[in-house]
Amino acid sequence: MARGKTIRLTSLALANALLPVALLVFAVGFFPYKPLLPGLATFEDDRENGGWAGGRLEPVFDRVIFMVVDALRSDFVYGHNSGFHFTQKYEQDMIHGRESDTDVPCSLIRDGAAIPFTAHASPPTVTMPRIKALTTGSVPSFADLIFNLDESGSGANLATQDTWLAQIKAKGGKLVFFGDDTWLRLFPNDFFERADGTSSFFVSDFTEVDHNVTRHVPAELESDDWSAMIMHYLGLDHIGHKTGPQGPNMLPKQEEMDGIVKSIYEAMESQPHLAKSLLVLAGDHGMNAGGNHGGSGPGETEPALLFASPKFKERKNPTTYECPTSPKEGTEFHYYRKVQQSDIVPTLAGLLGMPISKNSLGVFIGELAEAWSDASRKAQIMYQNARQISKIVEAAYGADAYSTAVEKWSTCLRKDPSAGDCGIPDDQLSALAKRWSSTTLTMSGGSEARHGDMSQEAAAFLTVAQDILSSAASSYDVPRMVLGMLICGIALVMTLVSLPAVWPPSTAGSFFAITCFLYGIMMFASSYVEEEQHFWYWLTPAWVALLTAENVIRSRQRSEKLACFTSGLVILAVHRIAIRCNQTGQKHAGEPDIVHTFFPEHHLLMWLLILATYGYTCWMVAGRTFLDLVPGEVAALSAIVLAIPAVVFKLNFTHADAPELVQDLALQIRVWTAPFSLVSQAQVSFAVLLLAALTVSAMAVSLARGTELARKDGPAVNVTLAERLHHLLTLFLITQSRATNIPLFLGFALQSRALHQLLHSATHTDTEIVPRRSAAIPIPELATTALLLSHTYFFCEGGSNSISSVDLSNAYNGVGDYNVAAVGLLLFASNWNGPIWWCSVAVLMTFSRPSQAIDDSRTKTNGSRSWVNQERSKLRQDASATKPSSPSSAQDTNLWLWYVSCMTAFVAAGLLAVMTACTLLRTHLFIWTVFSPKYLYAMAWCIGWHLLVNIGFGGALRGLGSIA
Amino acid sequence: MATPVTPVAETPSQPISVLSTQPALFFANLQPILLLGTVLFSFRSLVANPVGTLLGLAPTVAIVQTLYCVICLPIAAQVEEAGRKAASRAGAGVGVGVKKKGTKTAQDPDIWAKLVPAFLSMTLTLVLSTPLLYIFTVLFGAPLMTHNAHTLLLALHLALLVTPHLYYVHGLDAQTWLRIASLQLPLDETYGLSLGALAGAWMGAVPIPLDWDREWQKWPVTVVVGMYIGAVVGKLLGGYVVKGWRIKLS
Repeated sequence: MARGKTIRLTSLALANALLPVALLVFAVGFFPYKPLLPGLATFEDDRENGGWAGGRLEPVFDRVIFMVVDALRSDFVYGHNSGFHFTQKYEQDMIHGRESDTDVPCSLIRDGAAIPFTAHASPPTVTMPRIKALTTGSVPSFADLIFNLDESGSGANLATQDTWLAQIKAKGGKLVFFGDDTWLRLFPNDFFERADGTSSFFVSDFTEVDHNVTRHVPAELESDDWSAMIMHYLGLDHIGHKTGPQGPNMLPKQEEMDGIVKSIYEAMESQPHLAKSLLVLAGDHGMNAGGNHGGSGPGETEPALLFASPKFKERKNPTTYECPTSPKEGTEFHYYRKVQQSDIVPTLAGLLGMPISKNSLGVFIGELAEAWSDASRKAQIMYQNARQISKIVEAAYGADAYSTAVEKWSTCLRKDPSAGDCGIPDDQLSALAKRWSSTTLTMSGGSEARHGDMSQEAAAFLTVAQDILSSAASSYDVPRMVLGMLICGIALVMTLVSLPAVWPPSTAGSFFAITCFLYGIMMFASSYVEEEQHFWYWLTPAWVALLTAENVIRSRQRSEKLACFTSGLVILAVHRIAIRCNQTGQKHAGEPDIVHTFFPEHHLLMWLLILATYGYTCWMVAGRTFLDLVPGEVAALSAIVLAIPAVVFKLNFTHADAPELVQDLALQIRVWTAPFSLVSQAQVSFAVLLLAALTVSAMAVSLARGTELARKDGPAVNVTLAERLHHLLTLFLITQSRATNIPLFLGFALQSRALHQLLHSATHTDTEIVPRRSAAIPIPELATTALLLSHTYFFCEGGSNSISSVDLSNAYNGVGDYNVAAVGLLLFASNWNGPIWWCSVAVLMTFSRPSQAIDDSRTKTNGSRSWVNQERSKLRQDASATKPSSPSSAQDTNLWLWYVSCMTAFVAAGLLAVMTACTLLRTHLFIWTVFSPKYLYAMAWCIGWHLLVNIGFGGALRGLGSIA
Repeated sequence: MATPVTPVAETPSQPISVLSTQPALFFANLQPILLLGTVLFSFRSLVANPVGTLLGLAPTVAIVQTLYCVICLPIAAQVEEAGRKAASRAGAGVGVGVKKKGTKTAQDPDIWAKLVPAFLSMTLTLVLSTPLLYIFTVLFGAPLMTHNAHTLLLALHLALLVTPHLYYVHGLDAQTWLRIASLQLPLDETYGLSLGALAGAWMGAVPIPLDWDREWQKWPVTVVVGMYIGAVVGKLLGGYVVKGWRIKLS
């Protein structure tokens, strides 16, 4: 059954070349491309239709104060336990403790001065796509998320797009901005007249971020040169991330925000230049019970939206709202009417008398039409809104198809307005065309009396259009998706060809195949995609038990059996502790775990463990990385020099990121290092690591060359270059992980030692020790173990298949200016550091350990160079004496190839399953919230973990290990 | 995962058969019905009150398992005897005359000779297997800080399904137990019952994360049901389909 090496290598290379192609082809078909209409909308565009409806709108307001409070969930403003006392009712009531006194008429909402809504924020509920929705009115897709990572790219620049801010600028207005500097990245280059950005990087900052905004407010309220003031407060979001929605700082923060609303509103009442101004209070997204956001949970997608102005009190027949109030029955956060966040765009355009931004999918919020005294104004804005959306429909479906359909419906409806004979619209395009032609017909009948009908018809069209265009289900390119699946299928077949032998199956091979198969099935169950960690947590112990049993059988001596059994127990025990480190997934995300519950209470223990981890790694670096290269004292000193900057950086970084984990520890060190910025501290620790890696590589290669020991399958050397570099990599990965996850590396070390014992003990006893470089290790077992542990640790460290679990905190270590490549690398290294580490360990396992004899005599002579040379020459004689038989040496060179084949098989099978699930379930309710993020993660696993780490990095490490 | 092969002559252990008496055959077939019946009939109360129900069921299961041992299974001495017999048969029937006497005593032990090992098996199950299996269920992911009673009772039931008959037929020989733990014994009814219960318990965890929001998805209902179903399936498979096969790892 064994195939030729050339065939295997070729098919494996082809399979891995096809994988990214398949990913790309499928992604193009899967992620809907939305045509972006270029340029700014103008009123002139609308005039071609003639008549009053296209004309310039009479502005109700000339200024807007747009106050975004990050993560302002609806209940924070409207609920019974809210801190927004002024927004709900006047403060005097609160002071006199007359909270229940509901007949005091002077509150913002109850007084009619504010109109409240719950605004639906579509996932991904993270700040940048939400700002895009709030300003352009479009519904950002997951494709935007990819562009958003590239923050300097054109995909994220809104300055050239049609937004309500651009419309104000086009009118000659000036903009000022204070708050989250995401806005400044989205609107760069002096888009704002005055701006003060605040970094949202350290979520431990509850007060400074907001103070930095608030200090500008009084002066800006005095000046009258701006038309729009935008504020973005971050403190509330930070409190949510840190302590959850019920945290002790939450209510005071709400009161603080309410105070700002109060000062703005009072200025609007008293200052003449603010008389015609509108205050919009909006959350960009909400938060879930754990205080996080990003997904599609009820709390996350339901921020508050409030329009306030003294002018609203003058409405003729104002709708009144009860406040505080309870959410709609059966919901937790649905207060008042629910609108879309994008609806803000046409609403602001209507109220400020501007054309509606071209790419907006928003619908003018009808309640605000009460601001006009004249009913025809509402009909006018609704018609303009409908016209603008109609143009997007045209762009999405093709102008010809759309106008034909509209023509058909118009002729039919003109004959019979009740549309009895025209049939039922059979697809989305026809439904839209029917609504639109009926709107235009009502419009052409346009007498004053029919304004009500007009608005209704337009609103009906808008609602249908918004639904269809936002869901974007219409724009899948199914043939392309199927093509992507086919390419992936071919890659899978190629991989199977590249496996040395599939039949008869070994235990490990069968287990690996079953893992692939179950993983594939799992991709079709949305709850298992959300809770993928359970799959790996469930399989790993079973595999460890099986592996232990297998090796207990294999080993002959009683002591070895016992060692195998103990190793299995150690792996299991560490696994059990590790899976409780971070509660991940969706359902139980906020529940107590070691990282979020235990460590904050026992921060001293955590730092002891962190120091132990660094200490152990230091010990390994001194004893392994520098072995034979430099004298022992120098090695120890170098290792300490490598570790100290990293520990100091971690300490300072954690103090900035999560002060509750540091408290008063090591105050003196922090004082000493205060003059150095975090960026430079990280740079120093990375620089010394890089220097060490280069030096060690150069010295190890030259040493190997000098002693001519480094034949590919030559005798085992004491430490391969791969192992030397592995310990430096460990140091790097430790620095790249969150402080709370660092103790996991101790577990890693324990498990890898136990695994070494398990995998190598049996193979050594069977045959006499042949001093070969490559270990006689069963590759399917190694591949299965590495696969399971890689995935397990990805989830143990807090990863999940949700976008919100991507941890950005270590992505900017040592990066001053934004640099896509560096941030991407650091981001991957911090979120995938377990999988990267286990890949490196898998490489080490393919090399045989130094024979016992070498270890023993080394301790006697204490590592002096002269002895090493003697030993090496002895080894060389041994090597020439024992000639490895040719089949086994061929086996050796194929070890890594075999390992990569296994991993490619899993990646290709998993990818094929994800693609199939996304294609078959493309109309599923959760397609954008569960399956699309999973596809993005599958892309990251395939390109980042498989192609770059397993093949690129692992291959390089294996190559280096063969050289020296 | 496991490749079944026919027994190899050189290994001393043989698959265990149920005694060939009428009551033995009857009760051996009744036992799966009793086991499955108890847990399925009390399913509702198991969901409503797992701790109470598991506690209440434990004596019943213990009695069923004791009766199974006493009525259906040969005691350890008989098994050894059978093993020696098989070995000697393989060794061209040396010493047939000597053995006849020993066979008589072993084949027909009085009731006390059966009750004492059965009692010992149950005691060991309670004091040795249950804590060990508790540790293993926790290592396999059972909650440690909460649901202590649930997990402990789960371990008790698992122990009742997995170990008493193994103690009864194999005794406490360390070598045999090493072979049991490393899946090396030939498959038979008793070993099938044990492995089936373990595998069933493991697979019983699968439905827990699904978002069906059913009451029965809570810990440890699915695991308990899975382990009883697994035990019965394993027993039937081991007793009838794959009897005498050996699990071959790699």
